Amino acid sequence: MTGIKDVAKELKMSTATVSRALRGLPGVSATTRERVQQTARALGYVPSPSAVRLASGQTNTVAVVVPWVTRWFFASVVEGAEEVLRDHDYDLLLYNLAGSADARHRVFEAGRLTKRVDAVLVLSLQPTDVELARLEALGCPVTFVGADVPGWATVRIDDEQAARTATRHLIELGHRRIGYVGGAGVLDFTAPNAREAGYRGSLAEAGLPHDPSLEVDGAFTLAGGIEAGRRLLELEDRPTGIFAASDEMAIGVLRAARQLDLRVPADVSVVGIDDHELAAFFDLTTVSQPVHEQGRLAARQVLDALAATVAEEWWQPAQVILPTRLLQRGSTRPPRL
Amino acid sequence: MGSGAGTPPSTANMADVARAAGVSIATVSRALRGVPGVSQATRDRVERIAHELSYVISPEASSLSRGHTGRVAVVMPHLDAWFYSAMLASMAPVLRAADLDLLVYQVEGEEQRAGFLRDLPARRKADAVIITALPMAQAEVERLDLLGVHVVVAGGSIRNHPHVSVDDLEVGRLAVQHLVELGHRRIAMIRTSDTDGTTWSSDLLRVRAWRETLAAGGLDASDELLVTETYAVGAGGRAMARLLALPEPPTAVFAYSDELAFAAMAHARSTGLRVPQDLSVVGVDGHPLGEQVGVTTVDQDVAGQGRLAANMALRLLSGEQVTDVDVSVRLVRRRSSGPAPT
Repeated sequence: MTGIKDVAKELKMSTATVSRALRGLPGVSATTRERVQQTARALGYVPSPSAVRLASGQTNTVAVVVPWVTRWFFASVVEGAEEVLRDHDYDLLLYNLAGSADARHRVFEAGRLTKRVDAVLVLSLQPTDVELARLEALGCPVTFVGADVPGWATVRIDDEQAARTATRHLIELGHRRIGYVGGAGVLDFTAPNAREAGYRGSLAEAGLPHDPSLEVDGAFTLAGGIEAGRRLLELEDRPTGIFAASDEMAIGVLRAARQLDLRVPADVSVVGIDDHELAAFFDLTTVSQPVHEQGRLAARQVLDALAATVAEEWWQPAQVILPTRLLQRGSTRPPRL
Repeated sequence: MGSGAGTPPSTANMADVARAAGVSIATVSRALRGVPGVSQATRDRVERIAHELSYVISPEASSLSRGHTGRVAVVMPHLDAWFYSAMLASMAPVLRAADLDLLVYQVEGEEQRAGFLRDLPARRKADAVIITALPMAQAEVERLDLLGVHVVVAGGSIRNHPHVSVDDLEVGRLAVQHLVELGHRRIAMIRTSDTDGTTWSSDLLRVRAWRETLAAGGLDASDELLVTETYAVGAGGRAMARLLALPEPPTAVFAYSDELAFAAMAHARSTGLRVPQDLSVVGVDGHPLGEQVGVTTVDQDVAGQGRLAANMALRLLSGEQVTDVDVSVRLVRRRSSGPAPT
């Protein structure tokens, strides 16, 4: 591995000069600095980040806590965040919980993130009081994505509004018996509760009865969506429209319909939330949310906070709510009379 | 304000712990690092006080003495395509169980790849680097040696670095032979250009298998049947459109990935073609939506590849020898492939 001595030897300079040049300290001419940087690069010399951190107190690392990285929504948020962090020379430490409460405990437990990261992004989890206390004790910027955590920086959509848009779309098409596929899953989330509230609220507004047999758990997975879709579509008095709280579950409902020889949208209309990359492929009507953008904005928030800390300025955590919109495709239409 | 933005970080340092415990800083350091020369009673007292003061020995500082970072870096060209997130998801629990943190670098396209290798951000920040399905040019491959850490390649192979992969010749053969046996005579292949200018084994070998399997059957493998599109959502659709515009369009398509196959099928259907009556399509991956779409695929056990690659990194870190692994693949026949139209 190339050390500072190798760079100095190559340039026939003292290691002190090379070190000053690379750290941007005064007392080195611009020409020398340039030469040192070029040679360091050519030789593959990288200053040890640990040593840099000990000097500056910065890790240039941001932790991202993700419930399930295999789900399209989370992977896309991480991708958006990674782009912004990389542009600012920050590294991304990924904590994928994969639905494990144990993994979740481990990330937030005392000391796990201390001095390892400069900032934290938490995706879609509803933090407990203990977790908030731990995050507070870290003393570094934290932004929540896809969760409503009062007093903390958040980037999200209005989940209840998105669910209302989807449910009202079915109501406006004339559907009266509307099923809901949701689910809280293993970890606590904000979005499922808000989406369920939006569904129920829209039914109530339209004077439609609340029928618990029309609400089933799809666990926010494709397989769960298939299972939930079958349960709804095998009901004696099956719904004519189904709102699934994510596109992956909605695609599962489409599959269930196909398995039961029901046609979409002739026999049943289906609407989701997300605008998943394959939603257009399945011709799925959905309420789209800017997913990549949520990751980018969340990363910008913590970078702004870090910049403010360096400048010794007060940073005001912002609650950013991004707009959603209905994308009408071929999976919804008025019910047959 | 709960964000913690205005709150000062936990400022207890080793000197504070030493003062409170009435011992020297060196003793605190020895006690917390578990180095001998400190009595059990002192060690207990130092640990208790460190805990009370919320003092955590900096992993960075302790790594300088130990010589490792406790991290493994995963480098991949995309994060949000299924293949890559499935790889990541299967690596994560293996690394977590070994108490290693996972750094992720997305390195997409020639420019970012050049930047990554020029600045070598992973170097000294990780004990091992897992290069995941990241095509590289020859000069870039040489640069990998400068990382100075263990390198594992997942989902392909790069020079003599230890790798976990599939036999991509077998992948291509299984797919194309399946179509040949169904009676197809004009079989196209769809790939993306994100590997151009590089030598990515999976791409080279699947294309070679397509050519050789066709040649062995005495079938046409001319260039017009090998269509390349820029990597993007919809690439498969654009490639399909080009194939259908040929004077003699193919009756079957071998797609480099399931996602390309999905898009190719959607485009073909949108022009009124029936799948598989008019056009057969075979992909590669074992994408979870493949069953729903009904696409015939060569399942390459992505989760297995990720798990084995992470294990390989762990074994290298503990000083063991490793040998390359080829994960087995299998053809999964679904509705998208059928007999050639007569």
